[in-house]
Amino acid sequence: MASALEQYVNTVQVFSSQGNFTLLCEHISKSAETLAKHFHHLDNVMGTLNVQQHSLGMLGILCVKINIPNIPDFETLFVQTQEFVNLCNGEQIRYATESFADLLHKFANNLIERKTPVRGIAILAKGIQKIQLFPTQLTSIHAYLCQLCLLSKNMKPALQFLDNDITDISREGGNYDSKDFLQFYYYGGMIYTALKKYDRALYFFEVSIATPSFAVSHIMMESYKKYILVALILQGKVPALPKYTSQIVARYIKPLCQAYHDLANAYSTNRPNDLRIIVSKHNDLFTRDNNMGLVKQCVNSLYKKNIQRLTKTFLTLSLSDMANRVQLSGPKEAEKYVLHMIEDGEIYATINQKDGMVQFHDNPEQYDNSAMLLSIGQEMQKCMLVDEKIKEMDREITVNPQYVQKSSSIHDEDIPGSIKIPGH
Amino acid sequence: MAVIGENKISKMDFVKLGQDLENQELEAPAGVATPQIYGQLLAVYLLQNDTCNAKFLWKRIPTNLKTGELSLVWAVGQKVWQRDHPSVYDTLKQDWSEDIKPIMTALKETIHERAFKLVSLAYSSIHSEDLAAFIGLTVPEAIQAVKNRGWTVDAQSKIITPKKPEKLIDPPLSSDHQLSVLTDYVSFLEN
Amino acid sequence: MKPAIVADEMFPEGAGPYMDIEEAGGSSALLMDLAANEKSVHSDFFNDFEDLFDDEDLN
Repeated sequence: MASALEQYVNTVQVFSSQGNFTLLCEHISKSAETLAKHFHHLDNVMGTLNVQQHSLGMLGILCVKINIPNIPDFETLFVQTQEFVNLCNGEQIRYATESFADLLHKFANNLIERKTPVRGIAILAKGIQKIQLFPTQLTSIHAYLCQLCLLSKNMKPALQFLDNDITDISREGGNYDSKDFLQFYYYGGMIYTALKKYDRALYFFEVSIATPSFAVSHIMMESYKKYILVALILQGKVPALPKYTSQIVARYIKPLCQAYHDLANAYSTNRPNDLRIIVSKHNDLFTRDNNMGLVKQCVNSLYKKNIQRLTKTFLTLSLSDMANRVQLSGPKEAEKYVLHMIEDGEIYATINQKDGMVQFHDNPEQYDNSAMLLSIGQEMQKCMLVDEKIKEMDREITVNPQYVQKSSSIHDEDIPGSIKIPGH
Repeated sequence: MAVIGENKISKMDFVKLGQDLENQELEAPAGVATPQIYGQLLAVYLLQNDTCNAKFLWKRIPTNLKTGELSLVWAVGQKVWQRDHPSVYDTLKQDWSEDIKPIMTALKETIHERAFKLVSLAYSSIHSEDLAAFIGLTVPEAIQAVKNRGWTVDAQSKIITPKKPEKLIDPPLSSDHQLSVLTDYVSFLEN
Repeated sequence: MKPAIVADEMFPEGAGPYMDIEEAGGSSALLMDLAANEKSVHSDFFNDFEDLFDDEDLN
């Protein structure tokens, strides 16, 4: 083995046994070029290291290997990366989170290029767990995992990460980028939409759109389009965006999504024919945006919304009357819609086939049973936890030096002659 | 490879089976699992009424594997997705292999039960032909089945009046538990 | 008592070069203008997933 490589191994072994990981990281960064020069021997070098004791050392080599253009033997690198992620020492890796994340990004990209995204899912999921400090911390790997899940059409593995509300972002040596954040929420919203968990999907798209910004992000724009469609499917209307949404959205993104606004406006007339005209008019655009499936779901949801509106005016209604009012083809189709809505819990009604009538009911829930009590209890627990969390975050900001400096200087500027109260 | 025992398979076994199969799919060499794994997992998703994951599973199976028994399982899946009850029972009438027979049998029972529940929830009266189609029986069989459940049948019009679904018995909550929960609320509100 | 600072007051310099309120023109003109002046970002982000939400596509 070349002496440069021997030296690398030596340094890795010595620093690792000393626990001197910060210095080791510096050394590894400086060795990248040397390692690249000897890339034919890197497998041998890896062979001399122990994956758990020398995790950082191995990471350094894998990063060099993954950055070689036209990787000669990807299968070997695949197995090495898989083994590394499964067995590496998480404590060591957290000294070099940006490199670890970068390795997994490039790994995912390689799999995507080779059209086998599914192979990366388990490895990226493991990788997230290795560098997360706690389960509600967002890393840049999250977005890549979601991308692999969407590409391979295997949504479930992402849910364990999507279902945890994020409270912190992993800095990754300053490399964590807004793109990673927006992609996580956009791809996450798409996964929830695919699984028909529309309210969580809507929330994810909303987070993306309401991210503070001074420029138009195409990710935010695509999130906005899907936000409109999912809102129509779920609620029958597009709710107002949060007050803290950037002006960029109203001034620049909205005008770029006119077709979607046309759709929402047509939807709000409650007339399916008007809606279909708009869908036809913008067919090419919706198809190019890969949103046609959602648009079709919107059209379907309008019929359901109109049926739901009938419950406000009628106690009973004949199926043919309903079909006429809602513009369905006839009583049979109306019956099908009502039956499905009953099954999905979207309406409280019973069908009387003998008379061809539907009877609408109130929600039978009387809120007087222990199941409801338990459920309310769980919601209250969540509220208390959120309150705890916010108080904690508030405390952290109050003692943040930047904040203290800013807040005291603003006081001096804006309120001349004011008494500065020490400690505030 | 997952092996299913012959007789009593409980719901929990199917949950565990599903999880094992999902892991096997993710660990499969070159990212392609066997038709057996795909078939069993597809059947488990249908049994759990997880039609979204069933659909995506079908979509990601390599085209060259979408044949034989696997495509027959998806034929059932398509009808479940479309909520086309009569066709579901038709597509279930297959000579399933030992790998998936237990799951498909459980699936048929589950769909049958679900149909009964839905009819009793959604209909105050229903024609016996429609009911028979829902539960996959002939009209005479259906009439007998509902009579066994205490539903009434009008002999002349053959219209069936379902019995309303039973109200669930409220499980009592322990007062200790209630007290501790209330204590949490009070201390939270006071801080 | 804490001085109440809200998020947008942390950037007193204003929105920077990106907020040109005088922009005119239709949607495509806006996008062209934005792209040309590098006011849009992430235009190359991966979004090529085919339509995953078509309930009628069961193939």
